[in-house]
Order: sequence, then C-alpha cells, then structure tokens
Amino acid sequence: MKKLFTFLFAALIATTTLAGLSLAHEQKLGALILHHAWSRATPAGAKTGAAYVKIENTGDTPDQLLSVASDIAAKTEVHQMTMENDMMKMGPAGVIDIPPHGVVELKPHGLHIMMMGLKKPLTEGDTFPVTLTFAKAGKVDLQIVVGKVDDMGEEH
Amino acid sequence: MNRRALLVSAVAVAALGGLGASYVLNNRHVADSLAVGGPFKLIGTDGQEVTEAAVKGKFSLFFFGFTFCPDACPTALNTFTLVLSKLGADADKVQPVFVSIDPERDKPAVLKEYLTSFDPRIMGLTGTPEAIADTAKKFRVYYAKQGEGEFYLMDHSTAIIVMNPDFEYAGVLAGNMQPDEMVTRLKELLAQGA
Repeated sequence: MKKLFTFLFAALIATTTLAGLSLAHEQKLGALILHHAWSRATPAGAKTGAAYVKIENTGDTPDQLLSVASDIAAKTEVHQMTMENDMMKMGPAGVIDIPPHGVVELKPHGLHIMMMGLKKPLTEGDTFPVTLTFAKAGKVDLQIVVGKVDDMGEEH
Repeated sequence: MNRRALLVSAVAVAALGGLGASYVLNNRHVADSLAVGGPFKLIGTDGQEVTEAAVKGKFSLFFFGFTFCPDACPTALNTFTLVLSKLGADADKVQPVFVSIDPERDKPAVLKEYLTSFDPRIMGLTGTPEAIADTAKKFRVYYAKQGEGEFYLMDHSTAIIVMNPDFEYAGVLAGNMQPDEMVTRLKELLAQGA
C-alpha cells in the first residue's frame, strides 16, 4: 500500500511537471493568454528577424496591442505582410485590435514582430524578451524562443 | 522621270520604309513584352561578373529578394535548400539563383555571408541598381522601396521564374510553394527537358 502510494505520488509529481513544461510556452496577462512566442534563427549576417505569437483574449472586452519594444534590435515594430497577387508587401501594421473572446495570430506570411538592426544573431535555442504593451492588459515581457532557421511555426 | 516625280517617289519610299520599320519595331516590341527572362550582367558573391552563360545547361530558378527580408526570402532559400537535397542526383540539373533587388545594402560580401546559411549550390547575384532594374524588368519582377532611412524595406514579387537549359522561359512557381511540390514540378520539367 505504501509502495502504491509512493508510486501515485511520483506519478502526480511527474504529471504536474510535464504540465508545467507544456505550459511554459504560455504567458498570461490579465484576460490575455500569449501562446507559443517564437522566432527563427537568423541566416548569417542577417540584420532583421521576425517573431510570432498567438494572442488570445479570454475577456469580455476588446483590447489593443499598442506597441512592441526590444533591446535586441535598433527598431522593433509590428508589421503586416500582405500578398497582392504575387507581390509581397510589408510595413508597419499600427494598432492591433484584439477582439473579446477572439484570437489574433502573429505568424509567418502575416502579422509579425519585426526586429530591424539586430544587435546579435538569433541563435536556435536562445530566448529573448520583447515587451508588448496592450491598451487594457498593460505591459508584458514576452519570452521569445528561437527555433531553427527553417522553422515554420508548427507547435512543438 | 522629272525631278519632282523622283522626289515624290523618294518620299513615298521613305514613308513606306518608315511604316515597314515601325511595323517591325512594333512586332519586336510585342515579342519583347511577351518574353520572360533575358540576358543579364550581374555581380556574383565574389565580386565577379555573372551573365546568363553561368546558368545555361541547367534549369535555373530565379527568386528575387533581399537579405533584410525576415520571412519570405529565408523561406524561399530554405525551400531551395530542401529541394536540392530532395532532388538527389537530379540536383545537378537545377540551378537556384537568388537575385537581390536591394543592391544598396546587398553588396557581394553581404550576400555571400547570408547564403552560407543555405545550400552552397544556390547562386547569389547582386549588381548595380541599373543592372538589377534591367534584369528585374526582363524577368517581369516588380520591386519598390518602402520607408525611409536605415530600416527601409522592399516590396517585391515572390514568384520563382524557371528558365530551361537554353535559358528560355519554362514557367513560374509560387514563392511559397512547399518543397515536396516543387520537387514534383521540377521532376516533371526535367522529364520533359531530357
């Protein structure tokens, strides 16, 4: 009986730890949940990088992503990439509305956190913070995990 | 024939000749506007001059981009890298080319360093702004500078233009095509071209 108890206890700890690990990639800020913040390793000498995150608003009121900032680059902005026919266009996206009970996903070929004038390369396995400022939820230091150079953002 | 008649017929001949010439030129113009791809004189990653002669004999895949680009360009270069690996022995019949449409920033050394992160068989080309503009025009590729100062960006076409081993237009592939699909399409082209 004692053995069984020890086993159950160990199992419980293991489960909790695993759950903790899988949640490590999620940050909460008020009604917002920020899922899977990631970036790609940059090619050699590259002066720009892009970071992505899924923003979920679990609240009943809309919020807005007002700005982003980081120490890793000379200039950090939210950019929108759009395709018109075969033409790729990029530029500042301005304020991003986060609807109540809605999800806004920053992902490849769409909205992204654009880091220009990188002070050091983004290396696979590294983590770096980007500060996101929301109108209601306030500020959060989002921990961005750097994936492979050919990462396309599949959930790990 | 008097002098006056001679003058009239000379004018008539000149007029006809002019019409003929303009017809030929117009036709030439039509042919030019339909053609995709054409001779180029650009600069390789070691500063050497590179022309279409360097890609003749292989199916060449032209992607126009820039190293300051965070998303579409690394993606296309990763795709080229994976496609070359998946093609196996057939990779020898294919030459991916990355042409910078940002020659202001993408000097040969910058391009060379950037491309070390991808398959070494990918050819990197830059050039004078005029030579890049001329090449892009021939390949029907549009690009435009966006923003000011140090951190300007470039809007650009992301299509991959395929030229056959005789350096004639062979087709176009979407820049965001998945590597497996690109391998399939290239194998079809190689089968036709063989």
